[in-house]
Amino acid sequence: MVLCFVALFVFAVLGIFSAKYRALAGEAFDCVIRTATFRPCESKLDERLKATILVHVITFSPSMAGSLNKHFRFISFFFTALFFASMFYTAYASYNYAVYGHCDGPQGTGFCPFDLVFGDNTPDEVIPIIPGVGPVRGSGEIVLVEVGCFTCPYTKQTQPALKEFLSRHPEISLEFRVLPLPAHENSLDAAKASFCALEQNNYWAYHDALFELNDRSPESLIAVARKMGMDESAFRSCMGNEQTAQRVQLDKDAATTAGVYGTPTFFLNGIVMVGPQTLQQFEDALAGNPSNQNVPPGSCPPPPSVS
Amino acid sequence: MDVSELFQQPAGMAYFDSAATSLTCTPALEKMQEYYRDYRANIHRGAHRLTLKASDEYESVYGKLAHFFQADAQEFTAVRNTTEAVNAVALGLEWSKGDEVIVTDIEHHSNLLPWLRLKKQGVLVRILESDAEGRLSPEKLVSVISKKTRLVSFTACSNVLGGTIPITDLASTAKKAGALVFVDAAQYVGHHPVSLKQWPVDFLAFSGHKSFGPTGIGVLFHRKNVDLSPWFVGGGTVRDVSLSDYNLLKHRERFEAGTPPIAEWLGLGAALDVINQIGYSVIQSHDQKLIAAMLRVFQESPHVTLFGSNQAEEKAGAIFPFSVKNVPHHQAAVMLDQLGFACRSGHHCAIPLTKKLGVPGTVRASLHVYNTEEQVTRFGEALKTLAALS
Ligand SMILES: Cc1ncc(COP(=O)(O)O)c(C=O)c1O
Repeated sequence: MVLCFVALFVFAVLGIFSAKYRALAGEAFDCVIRTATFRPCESKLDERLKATILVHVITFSPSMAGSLNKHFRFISFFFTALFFASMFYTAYASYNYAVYGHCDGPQGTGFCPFDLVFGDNTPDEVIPIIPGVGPVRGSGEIVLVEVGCFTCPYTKQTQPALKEFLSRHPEISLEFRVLPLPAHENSLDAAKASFCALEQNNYWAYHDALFELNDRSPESLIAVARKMGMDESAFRSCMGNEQTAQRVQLDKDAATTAGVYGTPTFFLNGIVMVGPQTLQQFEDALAGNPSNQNVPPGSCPPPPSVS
Repeated sequence: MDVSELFQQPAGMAYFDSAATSLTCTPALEKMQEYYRDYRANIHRGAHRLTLKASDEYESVYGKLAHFFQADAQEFTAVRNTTEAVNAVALGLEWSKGDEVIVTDIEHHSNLLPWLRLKKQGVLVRILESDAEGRLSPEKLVSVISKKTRLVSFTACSNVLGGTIPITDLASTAKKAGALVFVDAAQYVGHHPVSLKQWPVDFLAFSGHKSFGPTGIGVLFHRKNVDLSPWFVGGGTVRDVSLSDYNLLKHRERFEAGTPPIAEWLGLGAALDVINQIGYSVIQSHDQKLIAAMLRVFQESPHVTLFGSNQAEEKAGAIFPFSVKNVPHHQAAVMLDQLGFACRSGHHCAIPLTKKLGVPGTVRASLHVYNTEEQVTRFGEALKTLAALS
């Protein structure tokens, strides 16, 4: 009867597609309820499944079928536990993938199988964004364009390496294009706020501060601006202003057109870099040797409109 | 007589579930199609050629029954199945408080529940107990029967055990005590001849679908001299009707209310013809061969427990209830299905008997004239395969 738990789940999912499995899911459900109330399972679904499995095993190994038959309860308990554990981890990983773009969460760097399913994450498909629109840090001739999101842990993670790289290379300036990701709370508010800081000529200090905030609610964003000496009422009205929203939209559209599929994404001399970068990777790109980026170690997935 | 030409065997599997329902013979299928195609009309109504032809065909089956069972054509009534026949008699007899009915402990629910329901009318149901192998004895019946016994009802062959029943001895013991006799011949008619001229029984019932015929049709035999009220009334049962009363037709016509399953009735007639064509002697000797072969298989399978008698001469039907060590009955049946055998599992509508056997259920292999010894050999191999699980 343990099998019924598994069967219920599996058939319930299959039942979405087929009436046959809906009926089986019904049986499994009845069986689960009966098991939970300590009554024998009436539908015999478990015996049917067990018989079908055993017939297949018995044809190539009677002795294995024998011990499977004997210990079936124990084995099915084991698989049930395994099933639920894997269900749990799949759900957890799906959540991470949806929110952070990686199965292992914001700090994840290992292999994530979802990339194989959902992401054809080859940077080649991304077309470099031409600089000249966003706020620029530094005065170097070579422009490193970054598409980032203030609430993306990967964008934040790259900040130190990026700063170090810029300080080592005065010939490079940074142009930041914002791509707020709806999966993150207040990311749109943060993006708007950054442009309001730009209005008051305070962009980069505010930009850096945004990554450090825990609370990016509009009130908190305004409070930070005030602390940095900006005009609060102008900032407040800027936040609600249609032009500001359009400004954000402009960046989003640029990212969409370029095919950006995660933040941060960097463009340097025609080389595309997706995901958090190390100083060395920036250096390599500058030298014209893009490091192997086929499976990025993690990036924040884009909103649906950008994918 | 090439029996295999009379039946279409299911593809890819040996049909070992004839006690649940037999295969339908091809002539029965053809007869039903002939009716629907060539003279589909209601019976006993109107004057056109089609209804006359349909009525003739319909009536001819009563003649066949009369000949087949050696009784009067008026004594047969079309019912849906054995279950309906038992209910018809239980509902159609006049009961008085204190009346007793005797049934056995090996009955199918269909020959138990209709009698148990009479409790509400003050009727007491007494049980004739079988021995450990399911044998019934007339001596035991004598000890249960009394002046109060109105009716004794028993199966001619248990659908679970398939053992031989001393039908005429039980019946005459009951008759001697002044009781009516009902015989449930559902499992019997397909395998053995019945002579109602010689059998001292008042009622007998069987289902078409267990005797090579279609489903939805059965026969109730009821002796003319026994008063029985119709359980249903309506169209086709009356001589005259006013808005306040009605006058029923005589004999069997009063019992067949409404349009009967005409095609099925004709199909049943064709099935009886097929039994005649094959011949009971051929069926019986073939059964005996299958029974002997099956008993050998069980003897060679120490991991399998056979219930009921394991003596060939004590088996009236090729019916074998068994269990496989360490394999629940349902699981065993599903595995046998995968190995190519249609067997039934469970209590086979005889929960009291299954309880008496002391098991939650059994697997049942039941064979008929269209099964072969080669299939039995393969069945033995399939049982051997299951030995790995024990
Ligand atoms: C001995 C016996 N009696 C009665 C019945 C009931 O037959 P039906 O289901 O055709 O009414 C069966 C059927 O399994 C049977 O085997």
